[in-house]
Amino acid sequence: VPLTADEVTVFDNVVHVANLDEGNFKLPDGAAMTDSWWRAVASWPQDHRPEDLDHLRHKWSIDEIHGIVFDGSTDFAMAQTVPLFDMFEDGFAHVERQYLLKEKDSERVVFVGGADPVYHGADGAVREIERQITEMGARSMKFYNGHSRGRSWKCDDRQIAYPMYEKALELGVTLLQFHKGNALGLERIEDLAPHDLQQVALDFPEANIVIHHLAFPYQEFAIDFARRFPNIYLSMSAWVNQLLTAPVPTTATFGHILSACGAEKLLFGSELPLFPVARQLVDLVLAVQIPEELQDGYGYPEITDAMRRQFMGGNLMRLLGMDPENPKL
Amino acid sequence: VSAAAPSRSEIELGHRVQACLDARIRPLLQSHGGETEIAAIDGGIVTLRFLAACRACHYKSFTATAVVESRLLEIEGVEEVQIEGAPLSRHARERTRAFLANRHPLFDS
Repeated sequence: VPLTADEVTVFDNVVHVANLDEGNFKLPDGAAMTDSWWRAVASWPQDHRPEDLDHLRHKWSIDEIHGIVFDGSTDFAMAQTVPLFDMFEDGFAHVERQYLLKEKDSERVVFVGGADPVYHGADGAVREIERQITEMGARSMKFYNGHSRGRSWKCDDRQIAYPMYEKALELGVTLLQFHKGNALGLERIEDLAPHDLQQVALDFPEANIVIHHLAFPYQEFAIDFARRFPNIYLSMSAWVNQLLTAPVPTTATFGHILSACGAEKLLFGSELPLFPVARQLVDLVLAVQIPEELQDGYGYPEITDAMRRQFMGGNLMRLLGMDPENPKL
Repeated sequence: VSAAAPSRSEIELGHRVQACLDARIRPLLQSHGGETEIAAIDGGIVTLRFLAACRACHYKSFTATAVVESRLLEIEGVEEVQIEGAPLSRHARERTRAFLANRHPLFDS
């Protein structure tokens, strides 16, 4: 009998107060991204996806996101800024709107800030990080280094990127998160390869680094980095949402990560509002098991309750220094 | 040992496991820059932790079963061996045990 959401602390690594209103698009990239997002989910069962493209394409309110995240299954969630300025005027998931979700429910929501050295300027990004941590209470930072039209930056650039990490660490924020792979627009996919995080992991051993989206199509590399570097973690963001439509490769991915890295390197993340409500995805993930043929043929381990407790919330609580027996933000 | 105060039998088992690690397992791991230590003993369940080059080795699952588990299961009182960060399916473990039952010379030390 699988664990239920009531029996485990669920800490969602990634939700967005997204602004997908047409008025926020930088055409054509923003519309193209939203359309492709919709195409990815349109074939899902109707009660497991946003109602329709028009419903997806709107400026999600703080209350709407709060309602679908905290529907009874989720204990804590990270509201993640996405500093994606190529496609959206305010960056898809704007700093202030993620902050407002935290302000609405600060006992359950962690505000994840975001800055970009091309968008804010190199010095401006450092100032932004300082502002978001000291004035807005950011407890983690999100970066999106791949951009279209030749405006990407490297995560291991000592002049451009490292000052941002140094500022965050100086202010006590050690959880640094990176959108990797999974290009949402016309960026060069190589710019979003996770390889440049290896040197970051070595140079900042006090930082904990989260790779999102398994860096698709660089997932083999992402898993290898999380296996070898003690401070690199993998989020389930976006790929776990394929459990419904593609259960075989998705459960195989679970097996691959668990056997290579162990459950302590995996973080549950829903990507809401990609799913309509949290509970459906939480229940799916709690019930996931490696099929017998994959356990036999690949040696992938059976998923145990202890593993589920780790990746559903235990790992994020540990990374944020929370007491698992009495978890409080 | 387990979080609760260890029983006398757990302490004695810990000594036997440590002796086996020192004599028959750690030298093999150390030849590749690897290392291991006891993380917990709970009844007959022995949990180890891989260290150094073993911690993130691509072949740690094989090491866990063929080199470590096979030797520790020979110790009286060891019922199960777990290694943190190197979970493997029951199928793979049973297959490896059956293979080693033929005492392949590569692993017979």
